[in-house]
Order: sequence, then structure tokens, then C-alpha cells
Amino acid sequence: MKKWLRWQGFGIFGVIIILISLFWFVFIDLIVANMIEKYGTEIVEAKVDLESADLSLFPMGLALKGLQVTNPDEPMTNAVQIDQMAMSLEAGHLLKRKVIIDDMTLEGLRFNTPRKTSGAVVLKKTRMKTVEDSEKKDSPFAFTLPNFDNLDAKEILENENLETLTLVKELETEIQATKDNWQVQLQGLPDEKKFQEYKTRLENLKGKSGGVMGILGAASDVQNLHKDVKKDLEALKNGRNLFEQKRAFLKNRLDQVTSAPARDFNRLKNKYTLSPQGLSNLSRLFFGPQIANYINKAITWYYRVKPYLEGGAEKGKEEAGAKKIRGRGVDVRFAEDEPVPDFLIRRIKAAVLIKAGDLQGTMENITPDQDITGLPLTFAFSGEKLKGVRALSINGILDHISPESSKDTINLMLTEYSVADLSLSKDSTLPITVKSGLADLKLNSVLASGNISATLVGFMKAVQFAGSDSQDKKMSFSGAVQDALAGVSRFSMQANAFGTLDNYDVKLTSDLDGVLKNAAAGIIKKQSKHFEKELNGAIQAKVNGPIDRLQNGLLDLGSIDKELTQRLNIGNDLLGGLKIF
Amino acid sequence: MLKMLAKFLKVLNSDAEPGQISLALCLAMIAGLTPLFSFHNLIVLLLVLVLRANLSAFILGWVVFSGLAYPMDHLFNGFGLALLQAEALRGLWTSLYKLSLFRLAHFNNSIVMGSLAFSLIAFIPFFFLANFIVKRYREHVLAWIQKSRIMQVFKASKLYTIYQNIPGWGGSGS
Repeated sequence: MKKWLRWQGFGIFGVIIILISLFWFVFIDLIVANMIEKYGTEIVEAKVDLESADLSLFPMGLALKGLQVTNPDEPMTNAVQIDQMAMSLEAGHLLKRKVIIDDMTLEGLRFNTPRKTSGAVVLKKTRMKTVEDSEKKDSPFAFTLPNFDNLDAKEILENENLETLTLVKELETEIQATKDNWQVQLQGLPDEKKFQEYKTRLENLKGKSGGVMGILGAASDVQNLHKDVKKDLEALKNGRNLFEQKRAFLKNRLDQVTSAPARDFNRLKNKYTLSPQGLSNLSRLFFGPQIANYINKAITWYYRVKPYLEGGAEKGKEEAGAKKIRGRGVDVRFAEDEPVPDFLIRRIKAAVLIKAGDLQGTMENITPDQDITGLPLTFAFSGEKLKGVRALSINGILDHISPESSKDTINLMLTEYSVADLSLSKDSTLPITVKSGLADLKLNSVLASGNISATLVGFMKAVQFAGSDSQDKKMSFSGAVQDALAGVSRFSMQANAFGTLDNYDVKLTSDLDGVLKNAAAGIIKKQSKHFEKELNGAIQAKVNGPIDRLQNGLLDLGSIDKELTQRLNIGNDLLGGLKIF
Repeated sequence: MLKMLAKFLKVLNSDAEPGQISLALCLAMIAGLTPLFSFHNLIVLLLVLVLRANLSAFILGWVVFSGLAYPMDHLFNGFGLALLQAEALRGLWTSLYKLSLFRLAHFNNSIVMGSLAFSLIAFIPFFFLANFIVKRYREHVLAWIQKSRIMQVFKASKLYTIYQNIPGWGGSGS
């Protein structure tokens, strides 16, 4: 036994354990801070900085100071900054590699704060889906405000592709191909020369004699001749039928081409002027881009947050072997008597600092394993008598207990928000700014299984719009709109967003529409009329020549018809002569 | 590294028990093939220190097996997953999963489970194989090597000087 045991080994082992413990006590705070920065940066895909961390054992807890999370889209801005974080940890669960935080307190929580240095990091993996890509697609509010002063019909036509010209080119090619094809086919059909040969054969038969046998033989030859002529005539008739069908088809195509200029005119008119629908929904032009911007930002953040609400589901896929992290392996879960998520913050109490003041609130059940807790993430923040806002409250439920039927609800209520110099339209041709006013906003939004359904109701009172100071503008569309708005002191609007995250639409109505329509309709109608006349003239000038060319090309096909008719006439005459004989 | 290699050669050529060298190599296999910061490696360390396993052989073996571990990750991952997801073992894992020790040791991780199971299965065969090799080396190869021309060149090298200067701290307990 002695031969195999080294008793002093116990002492050495004890010393090693003490050294490891000392190292842990001295450096654990630094290690925790580094881990938060490292894994935080990996998750956010932008730099996460932490001033310090302090881990205490009795009672088990962690305090963090100076946390900054960079906005991945704006590396010089922090998406979130928190001055102090304190949390209590459940030691028993830590032994099971589970981080369960009963209570967390956040102090000095701020959004969109400036950074001293860039927080951009080199991405090692494909970025999560955001709406930046979909923004490049047609926005539901894609529209250019009409500016009749700068509209030049000829210039527009230089930059636009006309459907008419495309059709002309296609039909020209087809007519030419038909012509060439029939020139070749005519050579294969019986012609005047062929019928002349038949006539010669007939003359020869007429001169034949030689008794009864001779007469009988001549009769048989005439019958054969009759058959040959009839066969050729059939070929000619079929040929002409085919030709007529093709000519009728080309004629039909020509009719389509001649109606194309009208379609081009309507398309360009709608593109460069206001359609009747656009005129009756001018508020969409003002509020639309802002609302689309807010929705896109919300969707971008939703895509970022979603994986952390449904982490449990992702783990399930890993177990199935869909994904393996090299060097880390896969953690397999087994049934537990009292299942507890790997990460859970039961309750966060936070003070959010916004420009208007402090918002107080709580968040509950923050975990990527809602399927285990069976509880959705909830939050509620509110503030009263803030600077420039009488009351603000925001609350929501992010229910991902069953990822397939997830449902997220967010409600916002803003009362008497003092608006100052709010730009409704930044378009240089029609700048519209609310100089001052009080806004009440109410948002109810639901995202259920990827489908958005949101309603935003806004009411503005004591409104003052920045007026038009240019006399020239008085006669323009923008001048008319600005003049009309000068008389508005209150208005309401309602926006309804619906559809999927990738393809949503927004319906926007406002009682401003009526005011704007009445003010601008006359001017738009007058100016549109002049532009429409110019546009129509320019289109006609551009397409008339090519269409005439097409018509002449189609007329040229008449020569083939004439040739076919002539050959048929000769053949028919010959056949008539054979009957007499 | 040269010093470590020289130490190992010295141990190999000394009268240290082959079993102590083999035991050290087997324990090095567990520590080297499994993730370093694992709970079970504390037990391995305790065994290395308490049992008369040869420390030079352990350290050299640990370096070699750690180098082998990374390219074998995918094998350990597959083996570990197969064990953890085996229907026949589900009851066992489910019972163990409820124990804090099992979770702390991270035995539900595919790589930890795969590499540890592989090391434990290979432990006894590898022990006897290493024993056999050390004995055969001493009986046949050592004498031939001592006389070989390469050995004569080696004896004139720096490595041999290091080798000569190392006090004999091997499995013999000296």
C-alpha cells in the first residue's frame, strides 16, 4: 500500500486548492467584468463596456457599475447605458450552472447616449435580420411631393422607358420575321410557272389520238392532271389561311401598340402628380415616413431581442444536432422535478432617465426559457408631471411561452406632450413644421405569430404651424398647403399598421385631409392640366413615328397576300378549264 | 520542453515501476482529453499527487493529450451526444441530472461526457499497453539504443547534458 501512496500529496493538493481560492478571491471581479464584456459584445454585435463588477458571497450578489451597450447601427451611440446595477443571486442554483436573479435594481438607465469612442466590432457571424434590407424595398410611403414648377415632360421622357416603344420594337421584329418567313414559304408553294407546266401538259393531251385505247389513256392523264392541280390549289389555300391568321394576329398586336401611349401617359401622370387617392390622403405624406421609420426601428429591435426570448427553443434545435459550437459542445437537458431556466431574472426595478425626467417601472420574468417558467415577460413604466409631458406610461407583455404562437403586446399612452418645432415634412418642396402644440398619443400594438396589428391614435391641440413667408409660394401647391395649415388649431389622426413583419402596410387617416384637399385641389388641378397636356404632346411626338413605321410594315405584308391570291386565281382558272375538257 | 522530455527519458530508463509511469500517462489522458477547467480534473489532480504516479510522465502526457483533444472534439461531441441521448440511459441521466454535483461537473455537456467516457473506457487497456511498452523498451530497446550510433551522437548533445543533470525524482520516490 505504502508503495502506491504518497501521503504528502494530500498536503500539496490542499495548498493548490488554497492558491486557487486566493486567486479566485483576488481576481474574480475582473474575471466577471471581462466575461460580461466578452459575451455581451458577442450577443449585441457591438462593444459592451463595464466600469467594474463586484461579486459578493455572503449574501450572494453582484453589483455592476457603468455598463454601456453600443447601438450596433450607430457605433458612436450607446443603445443603453446603466449607471448602477445590483442583483441578488441564488447560490444553490449557481451550483447547477443556473443563474437565477430574484431582484435586480437598475439606476440611471438611459437610452441613446453618446460614446467617447466607437463601439463598432468586426462581425464574425452573419448579422441578424433587420429591416434595413426591407427598407430598401418600396416603402409603403414611397412618394415624391409634386413640384409642378420643375416638371419638364421632355426631360421626364428622356429618363423613363415607354411601354409603347418597347412594344413597337417587339412588333417590328415580328413583322420582319413574318415577312422573311413568307418569302421563303412562297418559293415552296405552286407558282405561275408550275401552273404553266400544267397548261402545257393539258395542251399535249389535247393533241393525242390513237383509237379507243388512246382516248382511254388520255382520260386517265386528264384525271391525274386534275388531281395534281387540285392538290396544289389546296396547298395554296392552306398557305393563304395561315398567312391571314398571322396577319390578323399582327393586326391585333398593332391595336395594342396604338393604345399603349395612353397607358404610358396615365402611368407617368400618376407618378409625377398627385392621384385622386393621394389628394384625398395628404396627411399620409406628412406622417407616413415618420411612422414607417418608427415601425422599422421597432422591427429591427424585435429581431434582435427575439432570439433571447426563445433561447430554449433554439437549444432544442441544437440538441437535435442542427448546430454544434466547436470546443463547447451541446448541453443536453433532462426532465427535472421542478424545472428552472438556465437564466432568469424574476424582477427588475428600474429608474429610466429620459430627457423629460425619470420614469419608474418594473420588468418581470426575463428569461430565454419562458416555456419552462410558463410566464411571459412583462414590463410597465410610467412617469407623471415630466418636463413637457403631463403623463407617460408604457407597458407590455412579451409572451413567447410557445414560440409558434408567440404574442407581444405593447401599449403606450402619452398625455399633453408639448411639441415644439416638430418637422412633419422635411421635403424641400413642402417643408411643414409644427411650431408648437400639445399632443395626446395612444398606441396599442399586438404582434401575434409574426402578424402586426397596431393602432396609433393622436390628437393635437393648441397647434401652430410655421407659416409660409414667400409670396411666390402662395400660388404653388406648397403655399396652398401651408396657408391651409395656418388656420388649423387642432387635428387628430389615426394610423393602423397591419400585415407581416416583412410586408406590412399602414392606413393613415386624419381630419387634416379634408382641409388640405380643399386648399390644394384647385391649384393641383390647374397645374396638373398644363403638365398633362405637355406630357401627352411629348409622348405622341416620341411614339408617332415608330407607330407609323409599324403600320407601313404591316401594309407591306399585303404584297404577299396579293401574290398568294394571284396564284390561286391562275390555279382556279386552270381547274375550270380541266372541267370543260 | 527539452527538460521535460529529458526527465521523461530518465524516468523511462530508471528503475521506476512501469505501473507508476503507466498510471501517470492514463491520468494524463483524462486530464488532457477532457476540458481543463472541469470539476473531475480536480479529482485527477488529487490522484496524481496522492498515488505514486510519475509526475514527469503525467505532465508530458497531459501536454500530448491536450494537443490531441482539439482535433478529436467532433468525435467526443458525437460520442457524448450518443450517450446522453441513448434511450437506455435516459433514466440514469435524468436521476443524475437532479444532483448538483452532476450539473456542476457539467456532465450533461456532450464534449465533457464524450471525452470523459472515452478516457475512462480507454484507461485500463491503455494502462496495460503502456506497461507493456515500458517493459519491452527496457528489455530490448534500451540496450540496443545505448550502443547505437545515434545514441553516441545524442550523448554528445545539449539534451544529454540536461538529462544527466536532472536528479532522479521519478516513481521510485527517490
